[in-house]
Amino acid sequence: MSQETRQGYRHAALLFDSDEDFLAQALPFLQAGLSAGEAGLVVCQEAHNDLLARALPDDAHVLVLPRDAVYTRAAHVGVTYERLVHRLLAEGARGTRLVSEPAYGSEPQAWETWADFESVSNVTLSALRLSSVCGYDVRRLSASMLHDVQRAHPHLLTEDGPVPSGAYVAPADLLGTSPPRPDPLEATPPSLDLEGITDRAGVARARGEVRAVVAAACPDTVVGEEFTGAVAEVVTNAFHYGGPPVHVRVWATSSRLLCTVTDQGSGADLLFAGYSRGDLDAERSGAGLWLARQTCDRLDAYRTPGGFTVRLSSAVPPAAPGAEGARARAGAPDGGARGARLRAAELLGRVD
Amino acid sequence: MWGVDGATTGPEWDGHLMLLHESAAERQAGVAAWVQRGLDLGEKVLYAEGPDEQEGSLITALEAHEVDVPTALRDGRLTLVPLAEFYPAEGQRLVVDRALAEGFPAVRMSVGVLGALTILSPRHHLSVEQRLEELVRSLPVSVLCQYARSSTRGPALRDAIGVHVPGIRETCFRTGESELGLVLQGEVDACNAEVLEAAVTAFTDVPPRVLSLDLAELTFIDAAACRALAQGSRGLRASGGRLLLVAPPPQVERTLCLLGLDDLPGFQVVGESP
Repeated sequence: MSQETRQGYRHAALLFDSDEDFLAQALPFLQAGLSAGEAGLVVCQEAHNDLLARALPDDAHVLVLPRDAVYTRAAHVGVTYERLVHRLLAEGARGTRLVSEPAYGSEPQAWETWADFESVSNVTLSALRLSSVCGYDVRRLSASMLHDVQRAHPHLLTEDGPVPSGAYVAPADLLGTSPPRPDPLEATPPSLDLEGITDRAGVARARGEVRAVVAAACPDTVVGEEFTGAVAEVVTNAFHYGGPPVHVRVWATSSRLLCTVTDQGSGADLLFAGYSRGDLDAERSGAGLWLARQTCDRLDAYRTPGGFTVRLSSAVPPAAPGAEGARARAGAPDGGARGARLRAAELLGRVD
Repeated sequence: MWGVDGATTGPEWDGHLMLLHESAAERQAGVAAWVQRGLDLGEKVLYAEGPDEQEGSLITALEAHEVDVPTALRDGRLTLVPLAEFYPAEGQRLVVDRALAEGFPAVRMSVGVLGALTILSPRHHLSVEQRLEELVRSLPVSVLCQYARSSTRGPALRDAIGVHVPGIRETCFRTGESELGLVLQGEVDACNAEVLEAAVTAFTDVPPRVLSLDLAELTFIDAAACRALAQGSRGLRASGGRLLLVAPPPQVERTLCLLGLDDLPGFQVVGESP
C-alpha cells in the first residue's frame, strides 16, 4: 500500500465505536507509513490527538493539529491539506498519511455540504500524494449519515489496512445526476430580488445591494463580506460568460445567507471546478470560482428551466461578544492605514 | 465615488484627469462636478464642445447639476471655445497664458477626446496629452480629458491611461498619488480590471525598484482585479523590483491573500501590523 500512497490520493473511512477501536485502527495505519519514510498528519478531536501522540514515538515525523483550525469550510479543508502535504513532501517525506476526524457542525445543511465534499475530494484531490483516513464515530451517525460516509469513501480502514467499500459511488454519479435539493429558504420571499441585470452598472449596483442586505442580517463582518464577495464573483461570471439578463435573489436570515444567480447561458459543468487555486501570473487562472468556493460555505451550479443557476450559502455565526470592539477598531478614522503607510515609507526608503 | 448619482466637488477634480465615461449621464455628472470645482476656486474654465456633443448640451447638463451658468458666462469665468482654438498650432501654453493674463489664479480646460480626434491624429493627440501633463506639473492648470469607454479600447486605452496614471476617473474606480506612490480608490472588478492593469503597467514601467500602491480606500477587489495587479506588475517583479500593497482594508487583504498575491515573487502586503 505504501507504494500506492506515493502516487496519489487514497481515501478511506475509519468507522469506530470507542476510543480503543479508534486507536486500534488508526495507529497501525500511521505506523506503517512512518516505517516506510512517510510523514504523518493527525487532525482529530483533542482526546484522539492526544491518544495518537502518546502512542507514537516522540521523534516520529508526525504533525498534530487541532481540528478546529483545519475544518473551517469544506472547500478550504482541501486547500489546507494540499498545502500541508506539499510542505511535508518538500521536507523529504516519501508520502503522507492523514488521520482526521472531520468537524461538520450540527446543521443538516452542514452535514450535506461536508458529505458532498468527501465525495468531490476523490476527484479534486486525486493527484495529491496523500493517504487520507477520515474517522467517524458511528455512535453519532444516523443511518443515512453512515450511508453517506460509505458512499463517499472508496475504502474502509480495518485493523489490517484499507479494504474497498462496497457502497462506494463514483462522485460524478453520486452528485452529478440531478440538481441539488431546493433549499427550504427558496420557498420563502427573498430579502432581495434583482431581475434584469444587463449592464455593468447593474453588476456594480447588485454588489452594493447584496452587501447591504447581507450586512443587515449578518453581524459577523468577515462572513458577510466574504459572502458578498463570493456572490460578486458569480454575478460577474454570469454577466461576462453566461448570458444576460442576470437574476439575483438573496435570502438573509439571522442564521443563514442564501443567494441564487441565474443567467440565460447554457452553463458549464462546475461540479469539480474551482477547487484548485491556479496561478495569477498565468494567462487564465479560473481564480474567480475558486475564490467564490473559498468564501462561502457551499456553492452549487446547475441547469434550470430558466437558464443556469449558481446557488451559494453560508451559515451566519451567532454574534460573538467582543464583536463590537472589532467593529469599532475597523471603523477607526483611517482603518489603521497610518501605521501601514509609515512601514511602507521605511521599505521604500530603505531599498531605494 | 463620483458616479452619476452624487458627484462631489473636491480636490479630486484637480490635476490632469482622464474622465473615462460609460454613458452621457456619467460624462455630464463628471464634467459638472469638475466645472463647479473650478468656479468654486475662482479659476478660468475653458470648455471645448466637440462635434459628438449636441450644441449647448454642456450648458443644459451644468444647469441640471445646479451650476450657475449664466453668471459664470457673463463674468468670463466659463468660456466655450471652438476646438481649433483649444488646439492651436502653438500649443496649449498660449491658451493658458492668455487666461492667466486676464488675472485668473488658475486655469482649467476640458475637451472630449472624440472631438479632438476629428482635428488631430491619434499620435498627435497623444503628444498633446504629454505636453498638457507638463503644463499641469509646471503651471496652475487642471485638465479634464473626456474619453468614452466604448471607443477607447486595447492599445488606445493603454496609451491614454499611460498619460493619466494618477488621474483616472472611472465609474467605480479612481487613482491618485501620494508621496509614497499611486493611490487606488473605489471598487475594481472584472468590468474595470483592464483599466487597473493598464494603470499598474504604466506605473511600474520604470527601472526595477520598490514602488507602492496605497489601497486604504480600495473598498472591493475581485479575482479578475487581483489578476490585473499581477499581470500589470509582471515586468517590474520579473526584473527584481518590488510592489508594496499598502494598507488594504480587511476584506481586500483577505482576497489578496486567499488568491496568493502576497506569495507571488515581488509582491509585499504592508498592513497595519508587521
